[in-house]
Order: sequence, then C-alpha cells, then structure tokens
Amino acid sequence: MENLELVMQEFEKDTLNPELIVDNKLHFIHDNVTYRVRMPNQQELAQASRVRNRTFYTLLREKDENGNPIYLVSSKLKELLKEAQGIDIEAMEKELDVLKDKYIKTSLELSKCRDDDTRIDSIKDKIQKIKTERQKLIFLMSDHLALSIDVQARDAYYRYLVSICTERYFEEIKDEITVGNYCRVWPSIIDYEKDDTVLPGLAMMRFTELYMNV
Amino acid sequence: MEEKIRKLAKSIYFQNLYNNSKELSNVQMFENVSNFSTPQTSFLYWVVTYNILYQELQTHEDEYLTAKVIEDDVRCDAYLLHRKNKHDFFWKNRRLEEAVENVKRKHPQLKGGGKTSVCKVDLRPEK
Repeated sequence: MENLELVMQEFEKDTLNPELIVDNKLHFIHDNVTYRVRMPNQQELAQASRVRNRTFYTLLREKDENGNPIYLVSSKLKELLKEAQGIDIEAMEKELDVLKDKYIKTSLELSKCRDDDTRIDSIKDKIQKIKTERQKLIFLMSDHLALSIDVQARDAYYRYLVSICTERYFEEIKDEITVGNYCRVWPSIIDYEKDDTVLPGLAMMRFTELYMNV
Repeated sequence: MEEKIRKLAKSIYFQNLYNNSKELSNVQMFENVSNFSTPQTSFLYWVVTYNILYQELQTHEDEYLTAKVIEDDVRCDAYLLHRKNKHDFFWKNRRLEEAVENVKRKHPQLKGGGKTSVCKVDLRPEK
C-alpha cells in the first residue's frame, strides 16, 4: 500500500511538470535550440536601474524644433489625453474599482454555494466576464500610457534585463565527455536591440513570467 | 501560469514535501535557496494556503469548505474571500471587546453607572 502511494506520487510528479518552480529559471525552445531566462542578480538589477534612470532623463530633455518637450510623464500625458482626445484615464481607474467591487460581491455569492447548487456555473461565468472586462480595461490604459516617459524608462529596464538574462544551451567536449552548458545570447544590449527575429519577444515573454508572474 | 502553479501547489506530492520540509531541515522545495523567481514565491504562497485549507477541511472549520471548492480555482478564490471576511469580523469583534474592557479598567466608576451602555452590534458580513 505504501509502495503504491509512492508510485502514485512519482507518477503525479511526472505529470505535474514541476520545471516551472524547480529552480529560478524558465526554459523555452525556439528553432530547435534550447534557451533559458534566469533571475538577475543584485549587480545586474542595479545596472538595469541605471539604464532606466538614464532613459528617463534623456527622454525628459528631448525637445522638438519649437523647444517643446516630445515626451511627457504619465500624469501630464493623462491630462493631455483627456483634454485633446477625451480619453479619461482617471475615469477608467474608477471603473476598475467598480469592477473590483463587483468581483468581490459576485465571488462572495459563489462562496456560499453548496456543491450541488445549480447557480455555480452561471456565477462563475459572471466572474469570468468581470475578469475579462478588467483585463481589457487594463490593456487599454497601458496602451494609452505606453508613450509616457515613465513607461518607456521601465521598458528600457526590462529590455536590459532580458538582454543579459537570456541564455542559449550548447554542448562542448571536455576530456572526451560531452558537457552541456549555457551562454549569453546577446553579448550586449545593442546586439539585443539589433536582433530583428522573434527571439527577443519570446525571451521578453518568458522573462516577464519569471520576474513578474504575468 | 497561475493555474499550473496552483495545480502543483495543491498536489499530494508537493503537499507532502511541504509537510516534510516543516519538520526536516534537509528537505528542500527548490534547487535554489535564494533569489526566488516570481513563480516560486507564488508557489510558496499557494502551497501554504492549500495546506491550511486541507487542514481546515479535515477539521470541518467552515460549512462552505469542501474538497470540490479546493479543486476549483474560481470557487477556491471565492471561498478565500469569504474566509478573509470571516476572520476580519472575528478580529474586529475581538478588538472591540478589548476596547470595551480597557475603558472599563481605566474608568471603573463608569461600570454599570448608568452613563455608559454597551449594545450588541451585529458586524457579521451579509449572507
């Protein structure tokens, strides 16, 4: 009986694919090559912060031929969006709060359902609709604010981290034994920016999952 | 991603591993011991949460907690909200009782003096 439980545990372990959490790296395959993204160390994070700050101040100083700033910080961009295009980000933020309250109310209704309650599926559908609506609104808001200085500086921060934390698998022969190892994909951020394949995008997606759980 | 992490966290394998790691210092959940990734910290949160829920299921802590609730992520999230409300209510009531006791201790002359009255307020969340 004990053996059977152990076998079941082993079987479950295999079917669960615990590679997501077994270490602080995420693997992916592209064009039959294995890549991985890893967590940055403190030094790399500090360097990424410097890149973010530099981008922020560079964009802040950029002006057009009339001396007007080209880029705006998100608070100013929000004002301009409302004034020039009637796009009200603050109203969207309030709408998010309303949806959050709706989600809580509907979830509490679901929490009181017994297992045989016939309303379970319809309440779950309602919750899913609220979640989708929230997601759409969040995407829309981030789309509108993507050009702000803060968001661009943050993007530079993540691009830098992706460029140094993405590694390619390779094999080498040492003392007649094949040894597997990983090396950096892009020697520098410039090489990363120049890469026009889908790899930088794929690496960014995996890194976002590893670092921000999106 | 979250769905996969929760599936891992509630599995018998990782629940057993977690229980053993609480008692045996040489049982490790991950290969790395620091610089945890976000999936790893999220996994730790869910392993602990499901561990508590499984324990409460065994002791019939709450009438609405069943094995099917734990199985279903949406129902589980809903239950966790209900559970939080219940706990908030308990602690709010406890603090209220302590406040009343403190006032009574600091001002013994008010005890039953007719100038203060204690009324019972039902703070339970709406059903």
